[in-house]
Amino acid sequence: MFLLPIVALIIGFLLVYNLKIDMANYADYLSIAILAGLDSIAGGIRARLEDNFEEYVFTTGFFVNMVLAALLVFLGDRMGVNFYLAVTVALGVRIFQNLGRIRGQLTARLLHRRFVENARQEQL
Amino acid sequence: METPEGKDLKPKMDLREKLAISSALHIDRARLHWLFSLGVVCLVMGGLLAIQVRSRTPEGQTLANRFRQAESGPLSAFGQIYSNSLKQIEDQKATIAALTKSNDNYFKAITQNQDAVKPLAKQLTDFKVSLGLTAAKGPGIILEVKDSTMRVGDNPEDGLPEMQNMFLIHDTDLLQITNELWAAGAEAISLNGQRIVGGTAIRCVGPATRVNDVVVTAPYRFIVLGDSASLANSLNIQGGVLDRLRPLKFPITLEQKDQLVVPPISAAKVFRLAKPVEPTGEKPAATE
Repeated sequence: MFLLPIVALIIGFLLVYNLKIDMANYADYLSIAILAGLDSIAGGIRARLEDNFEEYVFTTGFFVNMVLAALLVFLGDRMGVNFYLAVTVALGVRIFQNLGRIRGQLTARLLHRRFVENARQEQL
Repeated sequence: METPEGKDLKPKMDLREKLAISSALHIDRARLHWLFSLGVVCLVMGGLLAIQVRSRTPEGQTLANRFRQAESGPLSAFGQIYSNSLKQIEDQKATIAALTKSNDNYFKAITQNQDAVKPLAKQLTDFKVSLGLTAAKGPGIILEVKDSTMRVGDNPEDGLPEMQNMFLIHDTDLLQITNELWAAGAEAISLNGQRIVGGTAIRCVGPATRVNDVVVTAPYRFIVLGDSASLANSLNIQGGVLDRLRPLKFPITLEQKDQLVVPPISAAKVFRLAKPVEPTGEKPAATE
């Protein structure tokens, strides 16, 4: 069951890879969009682990964040400001923060489970 | 860009109620929904990644094409080696075809022009025999020489232990025998399976003897092609090689045979420095 997102990722990749869509001209915007999407996914998982996950927020956030990030970079290009780097740094930091909190949650759960088991064994 | 997921829009009670109901139904619906939406998002994500990967790698560099036209990228070295090898194989195939064709032409010429070629072929065979490049057969003798049966230690009066050397066959003895055989008209000689030709050295190395750089040890067995009677006579001549060995009790056997085979030399001599002098009519200038 937990493999569903991974399988979906692979299926999506293969489906589109074989379509041979070439968007080399928009590679910069696409890469920023992908970064924003990764941030949203990490944020979603983190929210789920922290028990405040909300589907609509997650799905809309994913798409809107991607479009916004790409638009921001596009706008920066029009204005002659290198937003690309700024957005990359900001999203990178956020992804790392989210991943850190996911790790924290997972380890906390693992330790808690062990603690409970140990306590049970001691009682018995 | 705020994180919309981070905000707690719904009260937690709602989630817990949901969980309570779903656990009663044995379906963790909240978890299911979570994974489902994540799956959809991941599907889109995979597609975007694919587009990006596809755009980033030009058509020539996709994995399927890399081996064929590898001029850049991590596999270029292997690709170049591969294509070079293919080219070499093609070249060699062409060479083989050309050589086969010329060989065929020679063969045709031989069959059409036998009379002109026959003496040449005979000459070539003779050269091969004299160079030891082919095995040779014919009448001749087998000469076997062993180390002496005398032992110095048996009788102290015979001499010092160092004198045992006298009762061994040495390279000089073998050289003398060989020389005697050539002088008696031997046409092909082999010593313990080693063909003795123009460039053969017979040299004592420690306890053994090297012939053609191959170690041979006693018993030394010569197979000699030639007139067997004259060969045997010249060896047995009074004061000759064998006459000097017999008093020291070297076991010697000499047989005359009608049909003997002398093996070819294992490796023809390689000329690195000596070059043939073209016959120009004038005498080659003496060099120091």
